[in-house]
Amino acid sequence: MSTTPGAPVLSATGLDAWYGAAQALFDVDVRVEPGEVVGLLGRNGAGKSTTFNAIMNLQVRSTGSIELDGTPISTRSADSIARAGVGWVPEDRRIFTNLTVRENLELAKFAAGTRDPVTVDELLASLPLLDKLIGRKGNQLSGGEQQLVAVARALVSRPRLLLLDEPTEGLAPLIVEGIAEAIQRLPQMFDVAILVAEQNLPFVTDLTSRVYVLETGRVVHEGPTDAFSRDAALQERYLSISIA
Amino acid sequence: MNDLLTILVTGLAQGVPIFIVASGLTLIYGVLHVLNFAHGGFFLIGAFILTSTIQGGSLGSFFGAVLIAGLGVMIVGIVSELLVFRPLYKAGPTVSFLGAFALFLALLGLAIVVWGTNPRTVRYPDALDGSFTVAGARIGEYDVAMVVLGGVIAVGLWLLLSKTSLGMRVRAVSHDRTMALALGIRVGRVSTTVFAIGAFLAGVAGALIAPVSSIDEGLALSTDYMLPAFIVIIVGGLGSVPGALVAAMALGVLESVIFRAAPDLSGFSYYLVVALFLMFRPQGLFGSSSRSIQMAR
Ligand SMILES: Nc1ncnc2c1ncn2[C@@H]1O[C@H](COP(=O)(O)OP(=O)(O)OP(=O)(O)O)[C@@H](O)[C@H]1O
Ligand SMILES: [Mg+2]
Repeated sequence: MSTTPGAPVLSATGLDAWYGAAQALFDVDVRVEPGEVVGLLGRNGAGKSTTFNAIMNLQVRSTGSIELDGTPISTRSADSIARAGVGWVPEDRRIFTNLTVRENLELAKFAAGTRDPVTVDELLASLPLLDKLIGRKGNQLSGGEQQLVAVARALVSRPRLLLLDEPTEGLAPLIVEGIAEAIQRLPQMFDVAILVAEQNLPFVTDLTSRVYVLETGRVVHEGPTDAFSRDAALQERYLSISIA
Repeated sequence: MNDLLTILVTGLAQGVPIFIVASGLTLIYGVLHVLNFAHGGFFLIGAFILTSTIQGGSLGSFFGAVLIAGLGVMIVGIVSELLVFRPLYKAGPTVSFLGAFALFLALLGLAIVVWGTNPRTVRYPDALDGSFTVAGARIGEYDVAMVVLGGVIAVGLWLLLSKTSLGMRVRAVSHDRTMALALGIRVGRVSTTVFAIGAFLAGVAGALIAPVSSIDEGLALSTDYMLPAFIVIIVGGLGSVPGALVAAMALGVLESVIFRAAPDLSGFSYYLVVALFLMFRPQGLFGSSSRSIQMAR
C-alpha cells in the first residue's frame, strides 16, 4: 500500500453511520497521527464501537471519507481494510474459542498483506504474559487473558493503526494496570498508532495525548487529554452517569 | 456369532458413502451456514460420471473414474457456489436454502438431459468382486475396500482441518465469520474452497456406490444415501466432521442389524434416531451451540 508522507495514520471525516434506518453517527471526524495514542470517550451508546465498525466497514452502513496513511479505504471490504493495516480489537474480544491461542495468533498473519507478520516468538518477547497462554485452547482464558490475546492477535499483522474497544471493560484494577503498561509500550515497539475507546478516564489519562468525546453519535469535544482531565465540568457533562 | 462380523462390516461399508456425503454437507453448513439441499444432485452426477468414464474392470480404471467423478462434481460445485450461493449469502439462510433447492432441481434436470432416465449399472471392479471367509463370516471384498477408503477420507479430512493453514481458516470462519474477515481472511475464497471440497466428496461418494446400486435420478433423494446423510449431520451435530463419522458408522451398523433382524423395519431406524435426537439432544452428538467446526473433542 502506498503511504503519503506526512499524512495522518487515520483521517476519518464526515462519518455518518446507520443500523437499518437508525442513524448512529453524525458527521464524525477523527484523526490519529503516527505514533499517537488517542482516546475516544463517551457514555454507553455514544457511538464509540460504531465508529470502529464504520472504520472497519463491518456491521454498520456508513458514508464519509476514511484514509489510512493518506490512502482512501472507505469503499474497501473489511478483510481488505485489515490487510491495509487496521487491527481491530472488538469490545467482546472475539477470541476463536475452537482454536488454540497459538492458532488465534497465526491466523492473524493473513491480515499482514505485504508487510512481514510479527512472529509468535517476537510477540512472546514483547508481551511476556502471553507465554503461559500460548498452548491453551481459546476457551480456557480469563477476561484479562482474552484481552491480551486479542491485542496480540491484532499486532501480528504489523498494523499501522490499532482500534482498541474498551480494553479495560470488566477487568479487575490490577489487570487494568498491566494492560495499560502493555499498551503504553506498543507504539514504540510496533510502530503503530492507537485509537482507544474507553469510559475509564484514569486509564485514558495515563495513556493518551488527545481525546475525542462522543455523545449520541456526534463529536462534542476534542482536545489534549491534560485539559480534559482537569476539566471536571466537561467530564461531568459527557462522561458521568446522570442520576436524574 | 459369525453373522455379527458380517453385519458389522456390511453396516460400516454402508455407512461410508453416507459419511463421505455428510462430511461435505456438514463442512458447508459450518462455513456457509446453508444446508445444501443440492448435495443430492452432486451425488447423482458423481455416479453418472462414473458410468460414463469407467472402462473395463481393472482397479485402476475404477478408481480413476471415481477420481474423475469427484473432480467433475467439484467443478459443478465451484460454479454453483459462485453463481447461486455467493449472490444469495447476504439474503440469509432461508433464501440460500431456496437457492439450494432450485439448484437441486436444475442439477437433476441437467443429469436427466445428459444421462437420460434409464437406470444404469456398473460392475464391481474385478479385483473386488468376490468375498472371503474370516472366522466363518462371509465378508465382501468391496465392503472391505469401502471401509478402508472411509478411513482414509476421515484421516485426510482430519489432517486437512487440524494441521493445515486452510483448515485453520475454515475453523475460524465457521466460528466467527466477521472476526475472520477483520483479520484479513478472504472469507469468500474459504467458502468456495469448502464448497469445492464438499462437492468433490459428494461426487466421490456417488461414484463409489455405483457398483452397489442402480443408477438413476432417484439417487438424488435416495433413502439409502441422501436422506441418511442429512440425518447424520443432525445426529452428529451440524458442522462436526467427527460427529458425521460416528453417526454415519453407527447408523450404518444399526441399519445393518435391523435389516437382518426385522427387514420390514429397514430404513425406519434413521427416522427414529433423528426424532429422538431432535427431541432430546438437538445440537447432536458433537455439536456445540455455536455450531463452529470442531476438530478435537
Ligand atoms: N447492531 C446494532 N443494531 C442497532 N443499533 C445499534 C447496534 N449497535 C449499536 N447500536 C446503537 O447505536 C448507538 C451507538 O452504539 P455503540 O455501540 O456505538 O455505542 P458505544 O459508545 O460503543 O457504547 P458502549 O460503551 O456501551 O459500548 C446506540 O444507540 C446503540 O443502541
Ligand atoms: Mg461499544
